[in-house]
Formats: sequence, C-alpha cells, structure tokens
Amino acid sequence: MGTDTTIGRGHFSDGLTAARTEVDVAVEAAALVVLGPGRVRRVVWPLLDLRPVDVPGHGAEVTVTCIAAPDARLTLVGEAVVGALLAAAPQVAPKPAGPTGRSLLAWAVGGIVVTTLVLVSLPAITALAARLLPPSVERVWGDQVYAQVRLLLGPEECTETQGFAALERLVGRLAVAAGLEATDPFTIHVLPSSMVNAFALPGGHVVVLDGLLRKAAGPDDVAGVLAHEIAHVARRHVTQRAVRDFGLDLALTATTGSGGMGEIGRSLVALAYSRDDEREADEAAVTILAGAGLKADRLGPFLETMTAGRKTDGGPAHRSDGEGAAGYLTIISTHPATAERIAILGELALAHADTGETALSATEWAALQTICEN
Amino acid sequence: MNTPPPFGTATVTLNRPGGRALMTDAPSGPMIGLSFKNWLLTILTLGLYSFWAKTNVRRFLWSHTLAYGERLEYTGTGKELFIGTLVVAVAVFAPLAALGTVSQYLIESGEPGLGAAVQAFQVVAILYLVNVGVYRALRYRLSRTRWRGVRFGMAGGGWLYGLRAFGWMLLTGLTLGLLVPLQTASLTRRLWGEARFGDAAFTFTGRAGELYKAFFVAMAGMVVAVAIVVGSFAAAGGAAVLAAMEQSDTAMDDGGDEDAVADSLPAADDAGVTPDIDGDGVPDVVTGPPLSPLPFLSLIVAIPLGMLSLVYYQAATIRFLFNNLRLGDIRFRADVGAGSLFALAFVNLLIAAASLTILTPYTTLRTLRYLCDKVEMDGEPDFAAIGQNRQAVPGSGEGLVSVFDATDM
Repeated sequence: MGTDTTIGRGHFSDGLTAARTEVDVAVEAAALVVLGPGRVRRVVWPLLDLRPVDVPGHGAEVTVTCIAAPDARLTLVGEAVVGALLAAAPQVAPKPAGPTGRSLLAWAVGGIVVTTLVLVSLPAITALAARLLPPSVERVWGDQVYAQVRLLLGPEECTETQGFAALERLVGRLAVAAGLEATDPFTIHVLPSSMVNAFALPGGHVVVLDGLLRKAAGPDDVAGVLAHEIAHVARRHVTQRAVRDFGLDLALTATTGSGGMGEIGRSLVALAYSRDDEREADEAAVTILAGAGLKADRLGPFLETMTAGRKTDGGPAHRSDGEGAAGYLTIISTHPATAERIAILGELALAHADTGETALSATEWAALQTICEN
Repeated sequence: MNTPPPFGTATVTLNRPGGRALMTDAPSGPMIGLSFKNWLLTILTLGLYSFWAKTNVRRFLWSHTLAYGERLEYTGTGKELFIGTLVVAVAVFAPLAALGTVSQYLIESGEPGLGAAVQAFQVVAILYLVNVGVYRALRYRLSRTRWRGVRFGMAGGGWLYGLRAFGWMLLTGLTLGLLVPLQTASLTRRLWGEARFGDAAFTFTGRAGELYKAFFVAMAGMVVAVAIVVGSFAAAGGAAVLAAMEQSDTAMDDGGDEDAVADSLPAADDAGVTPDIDGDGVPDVVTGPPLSPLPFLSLIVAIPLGMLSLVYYQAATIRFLFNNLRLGDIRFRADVGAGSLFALAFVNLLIAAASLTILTPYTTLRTLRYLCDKVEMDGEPDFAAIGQNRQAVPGSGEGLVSVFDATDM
C-alpha cells in the first residue's frame, strides 16, 4: 500500500444477505478497499465508481456504494478515514437534509410572494380566459343551467302577454344602456316562485321570481334589481366566476392538496371575489339606470325592504332578528353585508337624486304585477 | 452457507441506541424548510413538482428512521411517481372519464337503462381500481426501501387483492359498518402477508375478535353522540328550524346557495301574529318559537364525544396492526393510547390549518416521531440468514392512488 493510503474502520454489507460486518477499510489513491482478515484485499471499489448513499450527513460517518455492486453498502467510521475519502472522492459527500436558516427564509418569503401575485392577478387572468370562452359554448351551458333551475322551481314560466311585454320593453332599455350588443345572448324569464329573488345565469339568462315582483313597492324597485342582474351579464361575471372557481381549484389543489383545509381556503378566496362582483354590479346598476334615463335611487331602499321585511310606505315594521348575526356572517356570505351595500348604493344615488323617470307606466306596472296569472 | 464469511466473523452487534430498536432523529428545522421549498416549487410549476416534493419528504423521513441503529434508505424518484401518474391518467382515467360522457349521452338520447348501466360500470371500475392502487402503492414504497442494502418487496400486481378489498367494501357498506374489524383483519393479512424484507416474509396474525371490543365501545360513543344531537334538535322544535332554513329569502341571489340564512328570516312580530307583508292572505314564512340555543350547545358535547370515539377505535386499530405483525424473529409492539393519539392528531390539525397546509410534511414528521416512540421491535433476528430480495421491481409507481386521489403521503 502506498503512503497516501488511509486506513480506518467501517461496516460492510455485501448486498447478498442482511448481515453486516465490522471491517477495516483503506482509502487508496484510486480505490476504496475493504480488507478481510489478514489485511487481504477483499473488495476493491474504484473511487470513480463510488456513489453516495442517501443518508443525512454528519462528519464522523459516510456511507457509499459502488455501481458494480449497487446492493452493497459500506459505511466508513472515523474522522480520519472519512476525511480522506471525501477528499479523494468528493462525489460521495452527503447532502444536507433540507433548507435551514437564510435558505428557509428565502423559500418562505418566495412562496408568500408568489401566492400573493397569483391571487392578485387572478381577476385579470380569469377575465381574459372568460372572454376566450366561445359564446356558443356559453349559450349551451347556460341553457343547461336554466333547465336545472326549472327542475328546481317548477316548469311553469310566467308569460302573461301584457305584463311580459312591459317587462321586455324595460329590459330592452336597460340592456341598451348597459352596452349589450344585439349579438350578446340575453333572455329574461319570470318564474312563479314566492321567493324574493332574481339571478343571472350563464349565457345571458336572467331569472326574476314572482315573489320579488310582489314585494316591490313600485316599478323602480324592479328596475333597480334588473339593472343589477343585467350588469352581471354585461360584465360577464357569471362566466368569469366559473372560470375563476375552476382556476382556483386547479391552483390550490396543486399546492395544498384536496384536503379539508384546501377546500376551506378555496371557498374563502372564491367568496371574496364574489363579493367584489356584487359591489361592481351595484355600481354598474346605478350607471345603467341613469344612462337609460330612469330613477336610480331605489335599489338601496328596496334591498333594505327585502332584508328587513319592511315596506317603505309605512307598513308594519318587522325587523329581522338575524341582522346582528349577519354581521359576522359576512365573511362566509357571497354578498357583502347588506348594510354595507345599502350605504354604498345610497351614496351613489345621491348624484341622481331627483332625476330620471319612473320605469313603467301605471298600466304597465299593474300588468307586470299580474304576469304570473295566466 | 458453508463457506466462512469473507470478512471475518465480527458481525456488527445489534444496536439499540437508548434501548430502542426503532427510533427517529429527524430534525424539525430542515423539515420545515423543506416544506416551504416544496410548496413554493409546487406553486411555480402548477403542481408538477409535487412528485419530487413527495419524494424528497420521503427521503428525509426514511433516512432519519433507524432500525437497530442503522438508517433506512428511500430510493424512489420523482420521475417514477410522475410516470406512474401519467400512465394511469392516459390508460385508465381517460377511458373511464370517456365512459362517463358516454353514459350521459345515452341517458340524454333516450336510453336511460343502458346509460345507467354504463355509469354503474364506471363507478364499480373506479372503486375496484382504488383498492388495487392501495396494494400497488405499498408495493412501490416497499420496493424503494432498503436497509443495509437489502430491499423490501412485495409480489403480484394487486389485482386479486383489489377484488377482495372491493368485496369487503361492499359487504361492510351493506352491513352499515359492522364488519369493519373483520375487514381490517382480513385485508391486512392479505396485504402484509405478501410483504418481504429480502427473502424473509412479514406475517400478520391478528384476529378480528381482538378489535371488536374496542369497536363496540367506539360505536356506543358515536351512537350516544348522535342521540344527543338528534334529541336536542327534536326538543327545540326541529320542524320549525328546518322549515325556516328552507325559506331562502336573500335578495338578488346570483344562483349560488351559500346565503346567510340569518339575515333573511323575518321574525314574528311582538303580538305573535303571523306576518303577511304583501297582504295576499298567505303567511310569508312558517313561524314558530324563537330558535333556542340548546341544539347548538349539544354540538359542543356531541362533536368531541364523536371524535374521541373515533380516535379510541383508531388507537385500538394501530395497536392491533403492530402487535400482530412479525418479520421472521422480529415482533412488533405498539403502545398507542387514545389520549396521546388524540393530542397528536389535534395539534397536527392546528399546525396544518395555521399554515394553510404548507406544513403538512412537518405534521407527518411529528407522526413519525410519535410512532417511533410508541412502537418497538423485539427479538434478535439472524440477519445473515436473510437474503437479498429477488422479486421483480415495479418500474414506476403509485399512479392509481395519485390519479384517484387516495394517497396520503
């Protein structure tokens, strides 16, 4: 053996059995040698053929294998021989387990920055993606969703001629003011449900429920609601929301798995964007009403009516017990707290306080109120 | 073997550092760092990195686990997981998804019977394959684990096991869960009976009877919890609560159904007269006595009771699994109690929640520490008598559990 050989102790498994033997090892100029009894050279592994075995590093031990004997394992014990091997065959140096200290901070900060960027740019990305959805696809999808709504609320539609004509005229004015093109799909439906509600579906379907028509104090209340829903259609909120939910699902599943926490996180983020949409629709509604030359100050008060169960013509007051609870429920509701919306709408309406004409004539309003009596 | 060992007879004595044959020295800091790194890279690659992320978590955990003072190795790669998923996505998932579309088409074009049959076939196929996937995932992980250079392994493709497991799934479902201990005992025997270390076989000798005691205690706990909830809701006028919740009165819903019920319920006025705001003679909403807090208080009792029952059974199951597992002369022993298991699970949940699941790998580390603390290996095996594993090694892995989302690590 040459003078640049280091000898030390080690453990050896030959890979043929699970036995492990204490051996002497020699780190030579070109090979790592396992010595048997009497210093016989039992196993010779060229340094270049050594490969590290994935064990966490610590200074006094290193484990290696050889490409010619991939099942065998040799562990060197003792700083001298370990140091000699690492100097002669640096490729077997153990790798650290995971990032710590500054590295850890860098990864954590990087992760937070990227996630924030994604969430912030998501509206722009989804708006773009929603625009790329072919209108024909959206129409088919919208028809399917509307069919399901009919399944839930009953197959009847309210189509009493005069009432429906009045409605279509009003809707037409609002659609023009909203900038909807003749080619944009848009259909208005009235369904005979006593629920006080109206909503927009994909493909330009807007559904108004009879309960809402009955609860309204006058045609301007209804016009406000219609303007809000048409704003959703014009801004393509419904499609964008679907694309965004899908995108969020994809992004957050990739990073957080589909466990319970992922679901909750996804829901919270999705709901936050929903509330942004509602706010935008409220603002757009006022603009649309004003643009159509109609009264623009009834949406806020009507909202208040619907949620507090009180008619503004001085009827019996029924305050909702739930209003207080609704405060903390904001974060889980798709609509910003109603009080907040009413306040914002009130401010927006100030600019249009005494302008605009009533949405429908007395005859038209009477006809609309009986639209579900066929 | 007759030839004298070439390296002398100085076999390394079996180490029990600190008196323990099974232990872990995994450090928390680097694991937390690794969790963040995995998370960031997974986001940046829209999930593609997840295969490599899983792999480096496993390498970390395996290499910090010591049996008789010597470390385990994990030799799997991210590429193998990626290819496994790709293969299953193309060869299994895509055809099954297509079947779903076909069945929809059949239903809509007037062949509801045939459509339903195709759909049923799709569901059955998926359930069967998920069970096959469980077998194959264990087989992959075993084949990528080494100790002293000797591989673990498992033979077979899991097709028969999948059938058995699927059958048990049906049977247990039909009997409303009463057969769960039997299912556990039978399937564990089939699964681990095929596992090998080198050429030494694992054996599982657990009998369901052992587990039934704990099972019935847990069931009693669950039944009591459910009874508390049902009873208190019934006492508080359940019918009124349900009816009020059905009246979704929120304005200008955009089609979603997440409305806060609370801000849409008009309450009875002070005179107790049913409100009839629009004056059409029809009451607006079914009114009843105001909602008492009793039903919700009962949840405070019932939910922990239910969870404790589950944890109690889970702890019994873990003890059952380890205490009846053998590898040659090695016997496993687990000392897992419901209390400590609950504490582990609860803190893990808090960590995962607070970190938005970024630190889930760290919770796995905590679980590993817990298990290494509670599980022990008894016996003095003659390792020289265990030969290298010569079974065919799967080329890639875990496609099924990955695609059908049945994986946990």
